[in-house]
This record gives sequence, structure tokens and C-alpha cells, in this order.
Amino acid sequence: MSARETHRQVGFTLIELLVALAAGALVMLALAAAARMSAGTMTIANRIAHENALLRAGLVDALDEVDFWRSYDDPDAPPAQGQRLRPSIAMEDGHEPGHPIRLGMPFTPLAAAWPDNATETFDLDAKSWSSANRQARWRGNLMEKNHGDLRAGRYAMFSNAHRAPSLGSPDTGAFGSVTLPTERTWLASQMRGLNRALGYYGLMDYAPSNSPYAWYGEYRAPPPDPGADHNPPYPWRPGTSGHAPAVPWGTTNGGYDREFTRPMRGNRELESLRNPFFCFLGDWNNNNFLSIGGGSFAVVPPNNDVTRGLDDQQMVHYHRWWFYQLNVFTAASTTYAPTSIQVERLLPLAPTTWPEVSVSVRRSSSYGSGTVECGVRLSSPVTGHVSALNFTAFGTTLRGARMQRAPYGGWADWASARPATWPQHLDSP
Amino acid sequence: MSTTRRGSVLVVVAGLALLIAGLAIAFLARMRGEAEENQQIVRTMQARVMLMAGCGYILEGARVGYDPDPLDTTQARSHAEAFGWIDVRPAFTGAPLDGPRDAARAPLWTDVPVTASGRGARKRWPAIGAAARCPMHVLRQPPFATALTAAYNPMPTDPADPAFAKPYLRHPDPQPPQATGNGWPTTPPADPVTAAAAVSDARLAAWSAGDREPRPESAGISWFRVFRESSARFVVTCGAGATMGFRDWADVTYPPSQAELFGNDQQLFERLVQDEVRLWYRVEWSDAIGSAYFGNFIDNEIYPASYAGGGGSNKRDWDHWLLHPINASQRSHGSLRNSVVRPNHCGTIRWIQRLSSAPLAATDDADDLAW
Repeated sequence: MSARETHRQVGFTLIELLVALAAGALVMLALAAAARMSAGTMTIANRIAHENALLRAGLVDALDEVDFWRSYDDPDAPPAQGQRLRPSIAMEDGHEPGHPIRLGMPFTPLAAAWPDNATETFDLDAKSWSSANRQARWRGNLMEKNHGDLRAGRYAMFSNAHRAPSLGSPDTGAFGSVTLPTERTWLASQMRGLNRALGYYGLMDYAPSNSPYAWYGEYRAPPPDPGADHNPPYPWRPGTSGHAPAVPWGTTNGGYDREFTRPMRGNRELESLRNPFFCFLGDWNNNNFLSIGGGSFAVVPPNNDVTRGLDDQQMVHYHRWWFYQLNVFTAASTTYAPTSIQVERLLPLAPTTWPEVSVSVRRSSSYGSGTVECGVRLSSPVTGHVSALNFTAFGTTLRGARMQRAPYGGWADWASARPATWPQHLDSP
Repeated sequence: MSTTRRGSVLVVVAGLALLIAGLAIAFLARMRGEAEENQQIVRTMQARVMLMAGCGYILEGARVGYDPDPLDTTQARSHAEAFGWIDVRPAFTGAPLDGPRDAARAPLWTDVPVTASGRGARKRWPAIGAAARCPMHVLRQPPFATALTAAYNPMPTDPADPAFAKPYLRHPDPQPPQATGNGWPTTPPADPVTAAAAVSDARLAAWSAGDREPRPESAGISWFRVFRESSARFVVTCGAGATMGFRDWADVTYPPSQAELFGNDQQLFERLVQDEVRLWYRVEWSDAIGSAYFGNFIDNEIYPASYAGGGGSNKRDWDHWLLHPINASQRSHGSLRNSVVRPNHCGTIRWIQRLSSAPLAATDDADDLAW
């Protein structure tokens, strides 16, 4: 074999080189494409994994909110920022000079807002509220109308928020005063006090299931002018066609606070001033509001788009307001959604290119049942993809949340204390 | 092909394989991480489901019967019906009584420890200060189970059948499962007289006892534990894991020891504790029942007969309208009205409070529980 032949055997021909280069280029292109695809795949997988992780974090955050109510009352924050549902306001209705009506909100300490002329202080003991206990029984005439003639009797002497109420009205004549034992004042006093101190949702949360939201007091004249929308004017939110608060509304002839005597089917406001309606949870929505949609009562978050910046008086108002949830054609219903919901970004400081996760919670009482609606929503600014997880939850109730909180800020940590040293909370005397 | 070229190809192929292997491993690792994180979420949700179960147990536990001591076979089993955690019957003098009590108001619990059955000195459910442990596996057959047969007495649909469209009640409904049944045939047609003759109570004991063996696919998933803190207040511990509701190893070995459930292996039990989710809630029971619907009972809308109509509704000023009897249908003013009552014989849960961690007992005594 010659040297030339040997050289030819160990080298490449030009054709071979060109083919090899072309094949190599193809392989490199394929490799580059594979690598790029792999990298893209990994990026997408990572992104999806991160989105899943964010959804999980949102879910955990929502469940934590269900149990600890931090969006509504944050014991770790300064009171002005985190505890805006704790203050109360006082208003004078002229009926009992020197005893202004004090109205609180869902996180107002009971001792701070309980009526100063109440016959009994608040009593949350389970045995006190037992149906076996005579004082816990509701006494009244369900058929009594706003302008009724009391033909079935004057029930205000069997149950009354006052120890010695002066009974009678211009329509039915004066009856005089009667002095009542505790058995006849306890329930009316508790119901009135809970309503004044906590608002509607709080009353419904604290009162036993199926309670009649009605109690007798002394007669107070309703306002003479129901206003242009046929509703009495609000003391703090003029022009709004909501349906509360009723403290200035006076009472029925029999002495019911007309706060809870509201319209019926037929739904004309002047008519409603005449027709009462005694509020059982089921009755409230299913029957009497059937033609105008379901009524809902919410714990109104203090820092959502509607309530941010409102003062105490306005917040107190919102907790004595019901919403027409179902009738989407009324102004009130369009107010319900943004007013009653709390939406928070999970990562408020994250770059805008990151997926955004928001967690929403709404606590309301509708159709006779307390409901916690939760939502976790993830949106990707890159792909535009949106995932939402909506669910109802079962956890800490308002009363439970109040017992988690110390009266003057901080948590009431029950779990770390022996029963003998259980901490003070918002319902402590 | 030369050695050099073969080597080049090998390098390229190996590189590709490595790339694919790397991708696969990365995916697997990612998937495993995802699965583990999801598992934690699943456990959390499972534990929260146990809150519902625990509250349901409290509600039903207010009314279901209790034996004086279920484990003491020397005592008669009475299952006397109870009347609430706070007895709902009127307390004519003094405060309402703690429940559960039987019809004669005798307590269905005892604070006196019964050690004859080999147990320690802890109070026993449903006494105040006692706890009930409820692993939520599915039993092979619950006590007093009924079969899932939907219709024991279907009406014949063949017009030629002499019993066509006639709702004959030939068979009892419901019936026990066949395995522990009383011999009554469940497949029509059957002559009721002949069938009745075949009925036997030979398997009554087996039917009432059921088969408490857990179904394997349902074991070790979740549990709850209810501690009665006071008359109507309870601590519900919600667990998702395999510890079956035992607090700790001391609880497992408390007389009579049930350590064999965990192979007498304390380390195994403690690993199970570490892996599971536990949540604590304090709840209060109320004897108030759920919503009844009084909409028609208190009907404000129906006009009285004397109402002439027109112009307004002034006559609605009257103090009484129509009282429709509950559970009666009415036709009035062009609409049908049914009174509806949603019965609830167990009461309601009045409030729920999540606890940040396991509550402390009054003392460190092993017999003094807090959950």
C-alpha cells in the first residue's frame, strides 16, 4: 500500500466532509431545537407548577381567613387600620334623654356597646338560652300589625326590653306602667342588646337558630315623613333606598321596634309601613321577599373598594342594611357584590409579570343560613389564562372569631392557657 | 465507519439520551413535589371535612340512645333516648339540667370510673370531661344495617298483570342485607304468607352487631375526636392521617391498651402523627332547631274575606289574618300554598371557634383531658 493510498484512507474526501458538515449541522439544529423545546417545556412546567403552588397558597390563605377573620379584624395591626369594625356610635332618638342609642359593629366589644339602660347585661351562657329556661321563651303576638288594635291582647306586658315600661300608643290609648320580672325582660333585653351592639349579621350569628327578631319596648312614634322614596330618611345616608336602620322608625302600636317589621309581598313602601313582618330566618327571605329577591345580610369588610375610607357612622350603617341579592335589576343588588366582599391579592408586591392570585371571602346570611363564600382566582399576565376556584366553607363563626380576640388588641390565645386562666375576649364582661 | 466517527455518534447519542433523561428526572421530581404538596392540601381539606362530621356527631349525640357502659357486657343495653346535651324539657325550678338524660330524667352518663372492664380512671363519654374517638373508616357492615335496595314493592307495569299499577306492600321495606337478613325473600313475586313463615331471628344478633372490620380502602384516612368541655361546649379535633384519633402514645396505651393497632410500635405511631393534619375547634351546641318555614302560617298577604279590593290595602291593618295549619295545603287567592316544616330533632351548632393549637387541660394529670 502506498503512502498516498494510506493518506486517502485516514482522511475525508471533500464530498465526505461536505456531507459530514451538512449532517452535523442537521444534528446540531435538531439538538438546538430539542434543547430549546426542552427549555421551553421546563419553563412551562415550572410556570404551571408555580401557578399550582400559588393556587394552593391561595386556597390555604382562604381557609385561614375562614377560620381567623383577619380581613375583617386584624388583632396584630394598629386599631385604626386593622380594627375598624370595633368602634360604636351613639345617637339620640329623643325617647330616653340621657340614654343615647349606641350602635356597634360585628367586632365591637359587647361591654362597650350594650345599652346602658338594659334590664339585664349580656348573658351568653348556653343554659340561659336553653329552651328549657323560661326566660328564653319568646312571648308575643305574631299576628300583630304595625297599626293594629291589639285585639289579641297587649303582649308588651309579657315581654319587654324595659323593667317598667309605659304602655300604650295614641291609637290604642294609654295603658300605664307595669313592672315586669326578669323572666319577662331577659330575652327582649338580650335580643335588643345584641342587635344594638353587633348589627344585623351579629344578631343573627348570636341568636339561636329560628329566633323571632322582634321584641317589645315602649311605644315610639314613627317619623312623620317617609321621604321621597317612601322610606324614612336615614340619619346618616340620605337618599339611599336601602332598608335600615330602623331605630328612628319608631314602633308598632304594640311596641315592636319597627326595625324588623318590613315589607311583604306587594312591596309598596307606604304599605310596608303598615304591615309588619316578624322575622324568622326562613320566613324573611322565602316568603315575604319572594317578589323582590332574596335578602342578604353581610359582615361588610372594612377595606374593600366600597368601604375603604368610610367613617364609623357609615360603617355602622352598612351593618344594619340588607341587600337584595337576587334581583339584579335593582340598584341595591349591584351594591351587594362589591360591598360585601373582601378581595385581597396574595402577593401584592410581586412584579407585574408574575401570575396574580387574589383571594376573596364573603360572609353573609341568606335564605336562613350563614354562608361563607370563598374564591381563589389566578390570572397569568403572560398567557391571559385565568383559573378560578370558588367554594363555600365551614369554619369559625363570628362569635368564635370574637372569642379569638382580646378586647384591646392582640389575640386571646385560649389554647396556650389553662382553663382557669382563659383570656378575656370581645364578649367578656 | 472509523473509531473516531463511531465515537462522535456515541457522544451525540449519549448527549441526547442524557438530555432526555435529565428532562424525565426533572419532570419526575417536579411531579413528585407537586404530588406531595397536593397531598398536604388534600389532608387539610379532609381534616376540615371532619369538622362537619364532628359537628354532626355532636348534634346526633344529643338525642341518640346511650348505654350505661357499652363495653360492660354485664349491663343491659337500653339505648335510652336522650333529650339534648342540656335537657330541653322545662326546668321548673333552677337552671336547666345537663344531659343526656332518659325519659325519667336519669343521667345517661356516670362520672364514676368503671375499672371492672379493665379501663383506667378517665371519665367516659358522654360525661363532661370525657372524649369520644371516632376513626372514620367504613365498616364492612354497620350495626343494624339495611340493604340499599331502592324498591321492594315495585308496581307491575304490564297491563296483563293482575296487580298492574297496584301498590301492593308485599315485602317489608327496608330490609336487612341478605347476609344477616331474616330470611324474607326480597325478589317478587312472593307469597307473603309463605315468606313470613320463612322468617327467622337466627341472625338477629349478627345483624345487630354488624361487622366492624374496617374496609381497607377507607382506613387510615381521617378521624375526629370530640371532647365534652362543659354542658354544651365541645372541642372537636379534626384529623387527616392514620392515627385513628389517638392523641399520643400514652393515649394509645391507656388501659385497655390498643397498641396492637400500631404493631406495638411507638415510633411508627409518632411518624403517623407527624404526617397528619390536626385542627382544633371549640363549638357549642344549641337546642334551637333549624329553620322552620312559617311563611304560610303567618300569611300577611291574603286578604280577609270582607276585603272589597280596589284602591289600597287599608284593611290589612287588622291584627289577624289567616292561620294556615302547618302541614296542610291551602288554596287561596289564586295560588296554592303549602306549609313547610323542615324538621330537625338534634339542635344546631351555635358557634365555632378555631383554636390555634391543641388546648391545655386544667392539670397535667393523664386522666385530665382537654381534647
